[in-house]
Amino acid sequence: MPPPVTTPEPVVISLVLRLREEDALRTTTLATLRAQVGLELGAIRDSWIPLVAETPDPRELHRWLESLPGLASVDVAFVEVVPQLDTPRYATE
Amino acid sequence: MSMDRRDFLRTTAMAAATAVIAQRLGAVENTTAPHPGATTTPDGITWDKAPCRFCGTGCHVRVGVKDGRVVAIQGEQLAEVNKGLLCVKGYHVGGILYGQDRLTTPMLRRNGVLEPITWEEAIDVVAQRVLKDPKGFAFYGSGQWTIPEGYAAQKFMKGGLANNHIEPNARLCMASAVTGYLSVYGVDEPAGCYDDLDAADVVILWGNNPAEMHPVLFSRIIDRRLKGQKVTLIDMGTRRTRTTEHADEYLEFRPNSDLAIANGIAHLLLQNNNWDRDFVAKYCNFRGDNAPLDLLGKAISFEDYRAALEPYTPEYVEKISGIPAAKIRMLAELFGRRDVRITSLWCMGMNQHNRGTAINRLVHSIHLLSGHFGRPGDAPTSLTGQPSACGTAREVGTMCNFLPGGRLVANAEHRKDSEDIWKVPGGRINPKSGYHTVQLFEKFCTPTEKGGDIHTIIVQVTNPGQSLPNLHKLFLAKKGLADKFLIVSEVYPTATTAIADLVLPAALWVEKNGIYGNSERRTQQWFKQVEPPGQARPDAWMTIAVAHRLFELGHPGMKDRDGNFLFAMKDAAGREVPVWDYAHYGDINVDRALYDEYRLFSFYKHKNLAPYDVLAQSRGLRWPVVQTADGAWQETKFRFTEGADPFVAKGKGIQFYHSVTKDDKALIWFCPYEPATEEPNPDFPTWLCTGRVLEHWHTGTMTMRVPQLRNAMPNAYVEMNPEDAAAAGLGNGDLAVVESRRGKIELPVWVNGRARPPRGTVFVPFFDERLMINEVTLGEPCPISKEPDYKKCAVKVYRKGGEPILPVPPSPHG
Repeated sequence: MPPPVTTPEPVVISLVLRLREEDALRTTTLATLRAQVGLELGAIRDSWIPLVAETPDPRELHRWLESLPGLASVDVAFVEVVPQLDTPRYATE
Repeated sequence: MSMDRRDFLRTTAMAAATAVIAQRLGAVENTTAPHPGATTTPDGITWDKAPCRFCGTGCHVRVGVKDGRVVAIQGEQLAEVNKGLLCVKGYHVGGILYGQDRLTTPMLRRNGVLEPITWEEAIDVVAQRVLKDPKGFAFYGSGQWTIPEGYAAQKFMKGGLANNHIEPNARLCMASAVTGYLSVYGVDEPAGCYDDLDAADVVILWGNNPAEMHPVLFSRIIDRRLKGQKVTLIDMGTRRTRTTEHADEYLEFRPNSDLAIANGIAHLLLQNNNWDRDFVAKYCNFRGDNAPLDLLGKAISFEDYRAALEPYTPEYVEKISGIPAAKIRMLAELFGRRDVRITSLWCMGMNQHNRGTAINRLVHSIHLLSGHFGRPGDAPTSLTGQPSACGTAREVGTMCNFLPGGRLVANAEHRKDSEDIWKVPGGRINPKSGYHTVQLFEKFCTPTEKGGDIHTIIVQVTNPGQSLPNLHKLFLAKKGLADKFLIVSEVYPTATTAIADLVLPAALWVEKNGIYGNSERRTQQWFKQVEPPGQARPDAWMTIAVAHRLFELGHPGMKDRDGNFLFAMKDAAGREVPVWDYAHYGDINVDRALYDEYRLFSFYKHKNLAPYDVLAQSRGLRWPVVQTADGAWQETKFRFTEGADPFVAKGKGIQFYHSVTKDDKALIWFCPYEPATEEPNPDFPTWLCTGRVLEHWHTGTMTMRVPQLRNAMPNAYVEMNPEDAAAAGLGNGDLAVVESRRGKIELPVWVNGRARPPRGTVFVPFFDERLMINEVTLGEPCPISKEPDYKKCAVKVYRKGGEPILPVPPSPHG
């Protein structure tokens, strides 16, 4: 696939994460999340974690979170809408 | 952004996620608490509700507006559909309003160039095109029309011009679901609702990919598994998708053989003697096809039915479909059990099918034959792709043969009903069906002297220049026809506006009031929250303005039986408001006026809609909605079942009160397996399937304007089996030619991506207007529903500059 052609503005998002039951996976994943700069974890309740982040590409963050073996699900709760830079619609424009 | 504002936004975001978690952990939310209306938080953001603009799931969101712009979106926590969550497309539903190339000015093409004109000129152009020959004027709308927009177009055409050449793009996506429901139950739309997903023990997917296309609904199934519930997921498809990753069983079948599979299950239910005799005796009759094929067929006996199924042994079905006989037996055994609840879900795989009505009938019939119907979790349900294919296209009846509320143009009583509600003279409505979508565009793209009797089409809220099949024939051929005129109301430039003669800038989503109806019969209302850009205006206004211009010019169809304007509307004091004059369009709630009148149509087929104010206070209500003795408005989760459906008589158990056979019974159909209209052969040895991708919604007109989505999926591709690619000398990123008898395009190859087609099959998504796969597709329609088949045709695939060397996949037909 061609490389990205834009650099969007960061947006505030919040996600609802669900941890898997296995203790070792949970521990590792929580450590990974806490170590990640720019992620704000809310109060963990049972297996659920609210997370707030500011990112120019929420979907990239979402994909990265989904790749963590200790997370069972990643869902979206809130998205900021920021006017983007004027950019061509296609790479060929 | 200031630190304070950013902090407040982050706090709001955290609160939204925390509230969702509280609900997941059992905090009981009163989902029936009235919506309080728009509320403003201390950071100056005003929040109000709306359904999401994208798919037919109908998630409810809260839209945050500040300084006249949408600044945030969150899931509506009190919405039963999505319970506070958004899918990945929900990240960007706010951003779709702000692409840099929004259309903001009406434009008329002169000497090949689109030039700005005034709205007054534009409306007059449309009116003059109608007057040229009202019979040759057509209206093409959409499952993204709001209910009032579709209703205005419907009334204008059928009640005003006495012209039935009005079609929605839902002909291309849902028509087979409609004819399936009608021919089985006598009335359209699902009996069940999303609550079935919370109760099913087994969910069978018939050729759809909900992990990507209806993610919030799919999450409901996965969420149950995470809670420790056992939900068996069976994925039946022609290629592996993201959904397959979650499935307990993946059953890959040869295109079109779903007909044989369904018959194979029914065959075994009879052979194993574990069909539900009691249910069938009480609630069902048997039906077979007429010749030629028609909607309602003919009565057949049980013995006829059994005899027709005789050939569909597991071994025969395996030969046709490629699914092992043991798996056919497994499916039949599941259906034969009474201790499990089974939900079947489908979408375009069964609906965009050259025998779409037949396969829809057959899946409903398996559920009826086995008694897997009428309890939560036991449901055959067709999902929709557009936000209001149900609410507008189907319920308002914006098809060439329907009137609102399930009525037919061919039925004299239905015409009289409609004429009375519309207060138009008796005999106004034309009893002859108009052209269906493929016919409509074929006529439009045929020279007038050769019988092309459609001279003008007005298109609202859809992109036929990209979504029609066989584009060269059905759309691009218009280019050489100087006397044909294309009017397009749009929000962005598209493949359709590219050859339009008149372009009208339209308001989008929360730039206007609106009402949508989702896949589970839930009607959802919203208020306008931001102004549209430039001179963009709502589609309903455009239709009313054209109607009034015709009224001024003396067209008799724009008068009701009292000589008043067809769309006359009054304020609370009883004074007429000139809503056709845009300066006064906002003086009253035009949506409410249109909806209040349309609602009168909804009672005939017991699709009772709630009053407008009740909708405004809710997060959607599932019809039929009836008023209880204490004055409350009660929605219906499960139709036809006593206790759940207010129209089922006491003691009936299950009552199909619109039964085709007028005896409260549904129909179990036999329809034969038939090969696809175009199967691979030595010249065109490969199956082509087309569809959507997670990142882009339909033709990408909105989502390609969002940089993150465009970056994630910048262009279409041809997805190939790795062995086929290797045999053709193709690797990832190489340019391949995909060629059919109708056209060819060049596409980059994608191998071992997110989906895996089997050998002899390729998949191409249709979102990219630079790489339009519909120049290649066949589009052969189901003979009953007239819905084209986008899921299978024959192509050859080869390296650009090379020759096709792919093997012909084996055919069960020799």
